[in-house]
This record gives sequence, structure tokens and C-alpha cells, in this order.
Amino acid sequence: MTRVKLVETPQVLFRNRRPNRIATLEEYRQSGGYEALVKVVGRWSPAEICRCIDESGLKGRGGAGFPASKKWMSVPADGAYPRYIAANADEMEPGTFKDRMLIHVDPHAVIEGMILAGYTISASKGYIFVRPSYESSAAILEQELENARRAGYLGENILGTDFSFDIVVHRSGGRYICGEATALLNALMGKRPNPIKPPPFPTVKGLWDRPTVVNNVETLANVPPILRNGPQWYRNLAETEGSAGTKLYCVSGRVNNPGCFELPMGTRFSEILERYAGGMAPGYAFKAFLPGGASTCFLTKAHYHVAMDFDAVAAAGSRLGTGAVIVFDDRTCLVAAVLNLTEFFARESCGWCTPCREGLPYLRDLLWRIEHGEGKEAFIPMLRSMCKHLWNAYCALAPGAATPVEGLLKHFEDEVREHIIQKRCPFKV
Amino acid sequence: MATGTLKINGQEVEVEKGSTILQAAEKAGIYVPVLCYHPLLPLEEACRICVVEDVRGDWSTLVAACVYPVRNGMVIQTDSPMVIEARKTIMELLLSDHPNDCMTCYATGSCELQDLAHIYQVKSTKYEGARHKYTVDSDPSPYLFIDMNKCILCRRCIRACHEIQGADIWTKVGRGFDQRISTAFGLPLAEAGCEDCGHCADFCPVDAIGYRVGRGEVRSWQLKGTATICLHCPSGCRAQYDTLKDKVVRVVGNAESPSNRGALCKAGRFNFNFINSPDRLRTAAMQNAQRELVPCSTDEALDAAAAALQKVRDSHGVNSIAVLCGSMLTNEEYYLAQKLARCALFTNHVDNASGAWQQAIHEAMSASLGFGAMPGSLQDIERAGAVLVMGSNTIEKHAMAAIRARKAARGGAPLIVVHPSPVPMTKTANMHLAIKAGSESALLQGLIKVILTEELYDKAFVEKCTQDFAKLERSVQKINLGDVAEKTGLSEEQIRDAGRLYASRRPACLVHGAEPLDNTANESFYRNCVNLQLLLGSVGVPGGTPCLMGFGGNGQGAGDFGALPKYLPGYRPVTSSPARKTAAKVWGVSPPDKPGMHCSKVFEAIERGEIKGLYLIGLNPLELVPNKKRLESALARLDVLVVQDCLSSELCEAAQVVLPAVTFVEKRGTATNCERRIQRLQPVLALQGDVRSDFDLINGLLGRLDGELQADSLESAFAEAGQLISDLNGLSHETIAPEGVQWPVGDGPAGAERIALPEGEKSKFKFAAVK
Repeated sequence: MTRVKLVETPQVLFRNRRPNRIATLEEYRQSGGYEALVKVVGRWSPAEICRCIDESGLKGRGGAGFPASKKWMSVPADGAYPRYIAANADEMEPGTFKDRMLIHVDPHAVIEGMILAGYTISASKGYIFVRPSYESSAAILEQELENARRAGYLGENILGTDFSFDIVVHRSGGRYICGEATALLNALMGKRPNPIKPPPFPTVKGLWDRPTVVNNVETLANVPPILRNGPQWYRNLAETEGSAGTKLYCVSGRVNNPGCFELPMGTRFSEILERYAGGMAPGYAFKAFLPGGASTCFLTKAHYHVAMDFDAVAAAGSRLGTGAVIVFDDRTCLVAAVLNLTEFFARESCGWCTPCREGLPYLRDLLWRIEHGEGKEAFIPMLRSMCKHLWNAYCALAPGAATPVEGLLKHFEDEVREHIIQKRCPFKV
Repeated sequence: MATGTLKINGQEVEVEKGSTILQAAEKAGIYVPVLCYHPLLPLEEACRICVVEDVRGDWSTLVAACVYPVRNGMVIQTDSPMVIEARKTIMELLLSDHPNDCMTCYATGSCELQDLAHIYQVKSTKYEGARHKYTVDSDPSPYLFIDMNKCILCRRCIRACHEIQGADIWTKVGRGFDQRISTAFGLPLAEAGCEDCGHCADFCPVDAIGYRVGRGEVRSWQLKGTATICLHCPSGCRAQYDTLKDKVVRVVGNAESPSNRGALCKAGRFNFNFINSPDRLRTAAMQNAQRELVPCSTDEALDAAAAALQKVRDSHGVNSIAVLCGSMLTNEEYYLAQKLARCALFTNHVDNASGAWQQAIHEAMSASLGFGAMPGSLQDIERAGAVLVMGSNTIEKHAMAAIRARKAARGGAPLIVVHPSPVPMTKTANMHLAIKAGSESALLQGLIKVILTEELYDKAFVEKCTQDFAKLERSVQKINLGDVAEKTGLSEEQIRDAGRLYASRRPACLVHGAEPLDNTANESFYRNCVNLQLLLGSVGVPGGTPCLMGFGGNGQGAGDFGALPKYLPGYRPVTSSPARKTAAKVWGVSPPDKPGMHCSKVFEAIERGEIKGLYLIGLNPLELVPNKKRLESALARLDVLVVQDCLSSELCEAAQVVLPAVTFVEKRGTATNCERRIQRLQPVLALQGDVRSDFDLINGLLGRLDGELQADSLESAFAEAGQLISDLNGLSHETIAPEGVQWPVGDGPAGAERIALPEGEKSKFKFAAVK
């Protein structure tokens, strides 16, 4: 039984959320689904669509928060054909499960968003890149793609226009690095998923050297409602000035009601924790949280009321990232938690460049020694210095991996030192 | 060319737009360390050692100099504290998983990692972290020694294997810290399809992939490296021979010559044991009265050889002696050998091992193109739109052409490989035509037929640049694809497909390498090669040429400098009276007018008793014939056999006089590769014992037979030959740069990369009727 907490704020992506089943094509349509497609395809120019999305203020939901319209517009007008859309459902950022929820709630939202993106950049093919452990999501998508095809929303001459577009579900080999846009493209082409440093950007030279837009599935799902209801409506959804729309927040940790909630962008952390996630579990007190997944910096009690939008979280010294809120309680050792994350990142490094390949195991070993009572005071500056050098890596994985370690040292240096002084983990009895 | 200006360490540098910071720094003479970067390989941007500080006003960032493009007005610091700290950290990280075995490591002294550790004074790591434990000497390869514990994952080996050899044996497996360099499925190199080119070892900055030879015996600083030209095959590769005292220890690539640009093949790199061999001839010998071979001084042997040859000449007549050369002599040596035959022994019986092929190539090219040699360059192959490879097992025998064909194929060019059996080239080919041995000529006719009848040829080129097209058309009518199919053992459909594929992307390159025991390559075969290329508009254009190679290391030079029975130097026919007169002016002696015989005919003449004296220069004829026994008994009938060679062989037993010569790596002089590139040889070893270069030995004989004919020096012999070879245009040794000169030599220093397209009606390229 999936627990669904009733949320009283406007539901856009989760408007068809039901316990234990996905929304059908009919239900999606009845809630306004595919209206945007009918409204736009064959009638609007790509520039008009981009302007609308631009005015809506939609920012990428995959973690970087890059304006969606800007990415689309960076496809050169004289770029070669065929062009491609890749929807990123690799979702391996620890603590993140919104893409999976979205696909299981309303798969057609993703599909319609992709078709619209395809129309905007004149793509003819789309790939949904699905994490292998999300086999059920892949199966749902395949089934619903077929339904969309039968309904004339997908395939040759969509809605009787000369626009043709089809979508393939690609099951990833399954590695964290595959979620990085350029590594994802390499994986799609059957190559080793190493990131490729831009320029050229994928929108200029992506899959098989053709212009390719890589969007997170949550970003894509936001496109149809914006085109249907207009940019101002979308901006009004947000809680804070300057941000737009709703956000899928995934809350985990020792809280009473962990889960994924669609809330106005900029909802305060305190409200998310207390009102929707049901507060801390009995016997546990709040200590810190990672606001946007494992590769973001810790925030503490000082940021308890931070508005959870891109700008406010950045101002607080972290990143909204994927919106995966990981809550830590007073009985959890943060050294052990960060060690756990660092082990993950060291394991998931592709090994391309020296800092990431050799530096992450270095961080991991230092943290392991501290956690297991073998730490020395000198390890703290060593950790700091190595974190700094990880920013000198080839792609964003290593800086991301360094971030929680930096956060640990920034806010909880005393807790780290306590391990060193006691020559044991103070949280272990 | 658009340029940009930047400041590196305060110094203003102007560079072309699109240059990297590294290129700009190089231009300014500022050192930036590199590890994964190599100028001959694609960029990787993996090691991060080359980071420099990009100062942007009040903030700055580190960027990788090897890839980062220059921005106009950019301010770069290459040695700021921020940069040094980052580099030191990279070094510490690399050394933290490195054995730091410098005491016993073969690379010590030539190790790039060690050099950087020294520059940045990184002793070892501050922190003992995880280390890998791989098997030392993990592969049974006879050539390579693999110790992946030393690997720093710069992946130059992978790029060299892919980019240069095109073999794709090495790859990266595993991820993160456990990434390692491996063959597919961890197979031993031999099973993984390794072609033993050794490029991976050449490019390894440490000693993770190193040479087996010399390991544990020599240290890098004991080695003296000298670059010279390899004469194993007609590619003319420039290679560096690392020597210790009187031995060659290893051979590594040298990037100065465009003929190989740092690449080498298995034979060029690893087949050098003959130089160090205990079978090297170090003293002269001659038969005593009891017909026993006894050692003597080289001068005594030369006296004896001269007397014996003179005796045969005087008693059996002028055409009773033949002078046959091997294929690893220098141009100057071929020149003296033919001068000796023609002016001192009065015979045109002078040839070289690949003379028959070289002469056929010359005659076919002259007849079709009015230009008597390969009309393009080896580099054309890699630019080709389509490539057809025939003849030898190219990757072994003519590797520089083969790896370029693969490069073209990687760029999308269809690659067709014609060989009776699967060879390494077939694995990268789009089409393998397993024809019956010796049916190449028939296949060419078939391809021409398909391209003509299906009108796949380049009509504009045929119209503008060629003549006698009707002759070709008429002759092709007689060709029946069914017959071709029967002769080649292919189906008609295969031949059609091959013709269509080869004609699908122009310009095209036809690569043919001759084999010593293959007699299909004659003038009409080579003319068909040109016919096919002319049809496809692929002669005299970048990326389009027939690439026709003999098998001898300096076969081209032998032909150019007159070691052919029908031609004086400069391909002046012996039958032409003006040609003989010109030669007589230079030599003071008029050469005989009757054409001589090629090697194979000479052997038959010896059998018939017509040839009584034979002077072999660096040639073992037993290696040239299918029936060794027969030739051995023929050689026994000779009155005089003079063997001049660097290695002792069974031939010495039958010789009256044995003259100890040296290998090509011990010589000075010049050699000419298949693309007409004249390059200079430098001795990499000092002479040992009473040996002399072939040049000095032949010159010694010349002096004894007719003092007037002797050359004063190598340079004067070259200059003298230049009087007869007009294509050299007065070229002298000193003006030949390390990259060589391609004849015909014009006024520029580089010579001619390829033949010019015809301008007048008369000079149009000629089709020939297919035979």
C-alpha cells in the first residue's frame, strides 16, 4: 500500500496520483493531457514555444537548474538532421526517487513533454534512458508509448501534421555516471559511458554527432501544462518571488512520513519536514539535511526555514539539485553517512581523470580511518585540500562527490574531531 | 589566418585562432608538463597535470592547457602557486598507486613520471592509500613486458593502438580506481589479435608496457639513440636505433619523416637481431690453392676478387659476368655497382632483388602517365574515399600503407582487401575477396568491366585528363565476368559488389605490395591498376593514387640509380644511343648497348653455362627462388662467385672470395622509398673488424679494375649520379632535410608530393587496352 499524503497545494505533475496504479491515457486526457500537443503542433513555431517556456521560468530539474528554453534554443538553426531528444530517467543520485514516482503516476506527462520538445527542436526520435533497476518504469513507458502511438500522438504524421516523432525506451547498463548528460549519450551509442567535455555541447553535436537535447523527465513533464495554461500561471504556482512552478521533493531519513511531494517551488524546508513529511520520528531530533541529493552541501538548523528554490538554497551555501531532501537526525553519525556517500562516489567514478579516480579513494580511506578510530588531526586539512583538488577534475562527478565532505567539515568539524580524539565513533555504543 | 593574442606569464604571444594554451606556450618557449597528451595522438584530457591558471580579473580557474582553446586577451599563469599545488597533488595521487620501483625500473632515466616527480619534487605520497596488485610480466609476448602496476592510466597505449596501428587491442576495463588497461576479455596479446607493432610500448610514458629486450641489462642513459632509415620494406621509415657499444638494443619510432610519422612495423621494430648476430662476417676470406676458404685481409680479398672477375671477363667475354644486388643497399652503392658492371665488366647484367617489379612499375607508369614512379604519396591513402588493398600480407610486408588504409576506413572509407587467405587487414575490411592465388590481374579486369558497364566512372576526369578511353572500352568488351569469376574463384556478384563499393567514394587508392615469389605483377598488371585509378579520377589528386610498391627496401633507389639491366641511371635506356653518349660523357666509358638480364634470367643463364662469374652484393639468391636445390647446383658451375654480405650464409661455402660488408644501419648514404622520398642514412654503430660498407667495397673493386672509375667520396658519387638523373635537379646530400625530398625535385625543399594533372592534349594520361 503506497502511502499518499493528501497535499492541499495545486498538483500539476501529480494531479492524477492514485494509490497503487498509474493514470491511464484516458484519465490523463480528461485532466487536460495532450491538449498542449493539439494546441501547439502544426500551429506554433519553435520560437513561440521557446518564448513561452522562457517566460515561464522553467529550470532543469535534473540537478543543474539550467533554463530549459535556453538549452532548446542552443540547437543551431542550421544543425544537421536527424535530431534527437534524450529523456534522462537514470536517476541514481542517492535519495532521489521523483522520476520513478512521476513515471508511475502519470507516464503520459513525460511522453507528451518529450513530443513537444521533439517538435520544438525538429527532432525525429526520442530515447528515454531508464535506470535498469527501474524495470517496472521501463515496462510502463513501453506500454503507454504504444497507447500514445495508437491514439495518434506519436509516430508518423502526429495529429495529421507533417511532424513525425517516435520514442524508444532504452534500459541503461546502470551506473551513476550514465546520468551525466554526455556520458548518457555515449551509453546510448553503445560506448563506454565516459563524459565528454563540451564544447561542442550535445545540442550542437550529440548522438551520432547530431544535435541532441538531454532533459530530465521532470523537466519534460512540466512542458505540457505550461503550454496549456501559459507562463504566468506557471510562475504563479511558485511560493517565492523569482522562481516558478512546482517541484517534486523527495524526503527521506528518520521522518514519520518519507515520500515524494509535489509542492510549490520555494516551499520552506521546515514546512516540508513538519507538514508533509510528518516531522522527525519519535525519539529523534533534527540535526542537518542535504537539500538536493548526495552531491549537495549539508544545511543545518540555521537553515531550517530556508525556502527550497534554486536561488535561496544557493544563497544558503548549497544546491537545490534534484530536490532530494535527505534528513539527518541527532543519533546518526555524519562521518559514517559521508563515508557511505563517498564510497558510493568512489565506486561510481568512471576513472577517466586522475583527481576523481585516485582522489576519491583517498577521501574514502581518510574518512574510513576517522570513522574506525584511526583518525589523526592532520587528516582534517588533508580532507579539505583533497576536496579542493577534486574541483580540478574532468567532469562534475568529483566536485559533486567532494561537496558533502566539504559540508561535513564546514558545519560538523567538531563531530569529526570528536572521532579523532576518542579514537572511536562516538555514536557507536 | 585569424590570430589571437594572450599573455602567458606576462609574455605576449600571438597564435592562430583555435590554438590551445599548450600550443601557445610551446610557441612562447614556456614549459607546460604533460602526461596523457602526445602530439601524435588524439587529445584525452585525463591526467590533469597540464593545468594552468586562467586569470579572469579578480578570480581565476584552472584549465587543462592541452585542450583549452586560447581566447583573445586571455591571461595565463603556468607556474603560479595555485598551479604548482594542483600539479603536486596530481603527482602525489599518481605516485600513491605506483610501485615507485625506480631503482630497478627499465624506464628509469627516460620515464616521464619520474621526470615530473623530479621537477615538482614530489617524493612519494603523503598518505599511504590503496594500491593495485597486478601480475608482473602478465603477458607471454616475446616482445613486450607488461607490468600494469606501473600504469598511470594516461591511455596513450589505447590511442596509439587505435589511431596509429588501427588494431584496437588495448582497451580500458573496470571503472573508477579499478580501471585498468587490458585486452578484450583479458586475453593474452597474441590471442587478442595483437600485431606486435610495439606502438603501445613506444608511447607508454612509464614502463607499464615496455620492451622485453634489454630489460635488466641496460639503463636508458647508457643508450645512444641515432635515427636512420629502415630498409626492411619500401616505406622508408625513419627509426631511432638505441645502441649500447656494438649492439642495437631496441628500435623506436621517429616522427621526423612523413613516410612513417613515428610509426613502425613489427619487422622494423623487432627484427634487428641480424645486426647483433654472431653470424656477422667480420673478416674477409678467399679460397686457397686447395679450394679451401681461408681468412685474409679485406684488401687481399678485393685484389683477389678483382683479378678473378677480370679473368672471367677476359677469357669468357663481356657478357659472362653478372652483378646482382640485394634490396638494402644505398642509392650510392647501387650507382657504383651498375657503374662497375657497365664500365669495368662491360655488361648490362646488373639487377637488384626487386628489379623486375621495379622495372615493370616504372614502365607501366611511364607508358600511362608519362611519369615513371608512384604518382602519389603514402599519405594519400589515409585521405582516400575508398581503398583497395592487394598483394602482400600488407600489415606485415608494407605496414605503412596498411595502417593508412585502416585510418581511411576509420574515417568511413570502404576498405576492400584482396588476399587468398584471411590476413590481419581483413578484420578491418568492409569486404574481403578471397581470390585464388595469382588471379589479381583477372580481378582488376573484372572490376574495370563492372565500373565501365555500370558507368560508375568519373566521366569529367576521363574527359578532361585522359586519352585512349576507346581503346580501353574496346578491350573490355572481350572480357566476360563469368571468366573472371572462374579465374578468381569469386562469384560474379562479388566482383560486381566490389566494383560498386570501390567506385562508391572517390578519390580512391589502390594499394599493391609485391611479394618476392609472386610473378603476377608485370607491366600489364600495373597498367591495369592505373586504368582502374584513371577511371575513378584517382591519379594526381590528394587522396587518390595507385600505391604500387615493390618489396625491396630501396628498390626505388636501385631503379633510379641504374641497378636495372635495361636502364642507366635516371631510367635512360641502354639501347638508346644518346643515352649512352650522355653516360659516356660522365663516365669516360661508354656503357654496352645490349640490355642485360633480370635476376631470374641470370640464374637460368648460369644453369646453361653462359654466365661464368657472379658478384653478389648483399643478396642471397636462394631466398628469391622457389627451388633452392636447383639454384645451388647451378651456382656450383660458376667459375667465380664473389659474395659480399654482412652475414655468413651457405653461399660463402661456394664462394671464391667473401667480402665482409655491413648492415644498412651502419651506413651513410641515401635511400629512396616507394613514394620517391630520398632520405639520408646515418650509421648507428661503429664498424667492427675488417669490414667495410658496400660502397667502399665496390669502390675498392672499381679502383682495382679501372682507377679512373673510382669515386672520391659518397657525396661525389651522388653528385655524379645526379648528372644523369635529371629529376634530382642537382640535389646534394647537405640539402636533404630529415623529412627527405620527393623527386622530381623542384625549387622548393620538399619536392613533389604527387604528379600534376595534365594540361595539354598530348600530356593526357593514357588508358591501355586490358590484357
